[in-house]
Amino acid sequence: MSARRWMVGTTVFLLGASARSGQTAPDTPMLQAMRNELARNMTVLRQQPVTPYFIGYEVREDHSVTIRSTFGAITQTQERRGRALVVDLRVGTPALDNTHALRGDVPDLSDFMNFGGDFVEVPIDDDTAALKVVLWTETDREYRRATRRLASVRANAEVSVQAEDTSPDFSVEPAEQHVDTVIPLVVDTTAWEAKLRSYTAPFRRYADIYDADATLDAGVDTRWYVNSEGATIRTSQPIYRLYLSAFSKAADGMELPRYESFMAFSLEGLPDDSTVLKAVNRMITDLHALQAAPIVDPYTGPAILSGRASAVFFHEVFGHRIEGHRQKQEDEGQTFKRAVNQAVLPAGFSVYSDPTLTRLGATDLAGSYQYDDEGVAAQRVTVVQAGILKNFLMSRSPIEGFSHSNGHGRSQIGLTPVARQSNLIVQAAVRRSRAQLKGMLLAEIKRQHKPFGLLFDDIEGGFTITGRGIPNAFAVLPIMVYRVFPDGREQLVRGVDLVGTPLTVFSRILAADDQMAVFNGLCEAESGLVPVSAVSPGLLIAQVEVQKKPKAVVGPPILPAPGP
Amino acid sequence: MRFLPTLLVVLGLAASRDLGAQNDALSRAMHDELTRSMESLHLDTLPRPYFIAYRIDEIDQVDVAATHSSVVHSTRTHGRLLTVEVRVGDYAFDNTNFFAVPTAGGGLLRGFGGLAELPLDDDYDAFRRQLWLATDAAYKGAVELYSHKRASRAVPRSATDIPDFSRDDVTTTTDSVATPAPTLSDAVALARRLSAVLEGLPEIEQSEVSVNVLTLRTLYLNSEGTSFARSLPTSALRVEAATRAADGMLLGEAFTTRAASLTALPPADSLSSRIRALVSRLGQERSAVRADAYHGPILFEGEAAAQLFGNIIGSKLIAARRPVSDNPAFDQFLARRDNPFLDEMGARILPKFLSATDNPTLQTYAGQFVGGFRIDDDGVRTRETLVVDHGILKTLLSTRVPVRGVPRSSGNCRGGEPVVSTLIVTSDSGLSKEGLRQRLLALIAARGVPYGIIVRHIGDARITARDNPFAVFAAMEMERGGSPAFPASEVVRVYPDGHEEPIRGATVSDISTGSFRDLVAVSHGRSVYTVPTGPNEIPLDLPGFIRFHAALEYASTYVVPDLLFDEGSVKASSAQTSPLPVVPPPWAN
Repeated sequence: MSARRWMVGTTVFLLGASARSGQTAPDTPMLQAMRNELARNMTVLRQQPVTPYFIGYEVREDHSVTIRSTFGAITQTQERRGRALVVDLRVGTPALDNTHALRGDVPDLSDFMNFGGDFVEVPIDDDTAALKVVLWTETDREYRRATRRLASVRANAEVSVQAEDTSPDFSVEPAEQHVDTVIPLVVDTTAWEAKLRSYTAPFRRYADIYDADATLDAGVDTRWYVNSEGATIRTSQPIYRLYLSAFSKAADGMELPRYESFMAFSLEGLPDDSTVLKAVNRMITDLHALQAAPIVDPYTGPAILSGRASAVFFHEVFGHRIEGHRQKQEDEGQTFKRAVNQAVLPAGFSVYSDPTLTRLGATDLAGSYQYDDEGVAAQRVTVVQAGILKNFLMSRSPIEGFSHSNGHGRSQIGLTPVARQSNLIVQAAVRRSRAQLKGMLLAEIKRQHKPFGLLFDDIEGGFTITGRGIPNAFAVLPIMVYRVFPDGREQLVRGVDLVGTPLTVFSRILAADDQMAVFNGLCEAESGLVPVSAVSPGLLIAQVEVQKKPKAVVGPPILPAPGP
Repeated sequence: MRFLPTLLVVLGLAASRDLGAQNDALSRAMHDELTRSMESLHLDTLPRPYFIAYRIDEIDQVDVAATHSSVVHSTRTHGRLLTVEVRVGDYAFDNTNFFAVPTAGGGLLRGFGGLAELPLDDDYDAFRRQLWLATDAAYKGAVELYSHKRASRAVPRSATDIPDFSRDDVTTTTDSVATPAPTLSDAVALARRLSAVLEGLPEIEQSEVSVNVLTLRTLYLNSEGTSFARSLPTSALRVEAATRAADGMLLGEAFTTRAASLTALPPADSLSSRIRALVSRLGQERSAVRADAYHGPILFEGEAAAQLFGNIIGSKLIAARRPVSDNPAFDQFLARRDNPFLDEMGARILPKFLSATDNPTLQTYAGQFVGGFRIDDDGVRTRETLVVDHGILKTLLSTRVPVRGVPRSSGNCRGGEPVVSTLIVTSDSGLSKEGLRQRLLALIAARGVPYGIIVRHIGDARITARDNPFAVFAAMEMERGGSPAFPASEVVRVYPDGHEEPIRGATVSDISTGSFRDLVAVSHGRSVYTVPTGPNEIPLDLPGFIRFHAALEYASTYVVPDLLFDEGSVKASSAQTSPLPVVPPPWAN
């Protein structure tokens, strides 16, 4: 199924150390209860005509506090705590089980009504008796669903032609044992309300800024996982995000947004007030500059993408195309399926995906984790080595040539894990300084006889399409874009998005700079929203294309802003 | 819950204060921005607003659910939602009651046509800012729609046209009681304690107790000079449980009880008894025989009567104006959703011995909390309205949006729509409980059917929804087809000798609005039932805006005698019956 994958969110740099606990603790009542109930169900179900060969239980707790301010006043304070259970039950055999894709136009109604994921709430107290009741009823429900689906899978396999990729449905992996201490969520809401007020108060002075929000999302994500292979895992990860957003309007009605965001694994890791207020001032300056910036028309020519823009670019254009399951699905574009051990990037470029990396320099990385959502240990994967494709990102769904998971099976709660990105790191063997890269851009502008080149500095996100039947294009949505004239002068412009198609653009990458930048965000795809990061140097690309941004037509407010 | 009338608690009007004179930052900001907007907000060639209103709903809410004395979720939410109403044109013809496809290109500044989250801090400047932007967005939307409506040929123009907006008295009212902020810990303690009653009961497969404590504080100001400050606290406790019959049919039961505050709920002991009674009913259902198809007399007793009446008649006694559209296909869609009573003023819709009166001023009825209000969302003072007089429909409950035959508001506006508040059905000639039963037996004999049906509770347990997700769509489809069908959770067959036999899996159908005209008899006593559309219905994963808006939904109460129909049907249940779980329950070791 083709679909758009979105990545949104921006961040830059962080100060302070991130804290992660990882010490092993003794077994816990919850994990014991889950294991015992799993074993009890498995024993009885194994005596049925259709027997499960695998059962996995995952409980995820989200304990979060959200505080938001607008123009210097608090608009929302909310605390939420809930736990959700997902049961993964497989019948058939690892070679052909109930999760096998139904091919052709067969409607798959097994997930009907499971909007936003299929999970059930369980108590947030560690009440094992209550938990066992829910585990039991959900196991029964999943068993019946899996049995029905297996019948459809078998029939579908009979009537369809032989699949291109005949790899099994489930791989063999070691069972992991790991228990983290549960980290409590502690947020001083009064202190944070005061901070958030101070972050959006400066926007008040400006009548031409029509929204200004700051949001703190503080949460601890705790997971308990057991499966019939003997895995027993508990992890507990705090994540703190601070988002700033503001927007203004140009005289022609175009909305001009500006975002900043910060992420850390501890509250202390978020930037101090003076750093945030500097970012606020930059937002205000940029919004005013954008109001006065001219619109640039659709254009093709050379461009520099800053590190953050390149990071989003790589995530969309490259990252989604090396997700393993896409190589197996016959309605996917499968851009790189047959490209293993061939050149896919210029020779000087390497790419690896590493969820075990928690920081790069002073910045925490949003895509880090210890175990993926199938209980497989996170692993560093070398995807591209000196331009040559070596590996795909893998979940426990094998593909031709790759029979094991490399710890990248991820999902939002309630959705089936598939191979997803974690921390995508792009490296260049040869790194120029910013000035050198700009010099190369000017040379390229002259060589192509272009009136100007472009520089993409700040972006808000992007998306791409990977299915067949429609163009496999991508878009990167910039906010701060500059025209670079042959004499080196830079002029802020607005009104365009960066677009293109993957293979063409990769073949046009010329050089990289020495400024690695991190983009922390949330990626949306078929298994839901997962936190990710992408890290890249700035790039010089010989030819990019830009198209016009959508534009609102409602004018600015009629009355002036109310006086102070 | 049965009673004999009547102990009514009626709210008196508090001394009113002119809100404009208050030193409250929010009131001042509302007043200042509204005044400025009425004076100056207009685009050169386009009409000015003739009416602007601000309504600010502050929601302070605690929501907890527990199972087997363990907390399943707990949420504390606090926010302020602003709704701006801008009208251009005049009372006779303005931008409303017209539906057009929204024009593209609105962008972020458009908002939802005048909805915004307001700060919780008392910050005059921040309030003014949001009021300014939201009013601007609402005005632009209004003026564009108005132009579209004028140009549309679908809109009739004649002297007999119904105005778009009625005039009403200017009022200033305070209906505010000091309400302490809801505490999460109290709600958690209550939910835990009551859910423990369902612990250790092997036959109860699923259960949940949820507690919702909400204080809704509303400030309102309009350009005619009407203003009010209103505070409506509500606490709701809901218990749901499900059991499975031997053939796998999942049976659910639920009840909800409401009060002005947590402490005003019935004492925990009495609630525990009520839970045990629910368990006992579920036990009876489990061992009951499955329902067969049936056509014949049906008696609705107790809450079932109130539920049935509310669903088929009561909820439709509202003057919901049908908007005009310039899109023929959409017009047809709107026509299908027409309220059947919209043009039935003067028609007989009930038997001559029944009348119905709506009374929003009641806070309680016969000891049960019904949650009245003295001032509606338009600032109109509420009052008793005689809706049905000896069977004849006299009027419909209305807002300031007139319909044919109902030119003025009856003070029933909540959330921008007309709602039933507490609708009390009275009878000239009610029978005793035994007398009504005898009538039923007589009807059975006359009809020649082997038994009759008594329905005591209509199912509303969402707890079984996961087992049968298609039920929701099936119900909607039947409703659209004009013949609503209700799963009934407490149903018995009654035989000519008077003995009763419970049945399960019954769906009641073929009772339409017309069936009520031919009601054979009713009881003297009446039951009180509040339709569970209150705050505890909000799915917690919805984004802030929508969740707040849902908190503003109003729960309607029906006070209705037992109802005896000589013709109705029972269908055998279409619920999927899964076999019992293969694995025995965890407690069965």
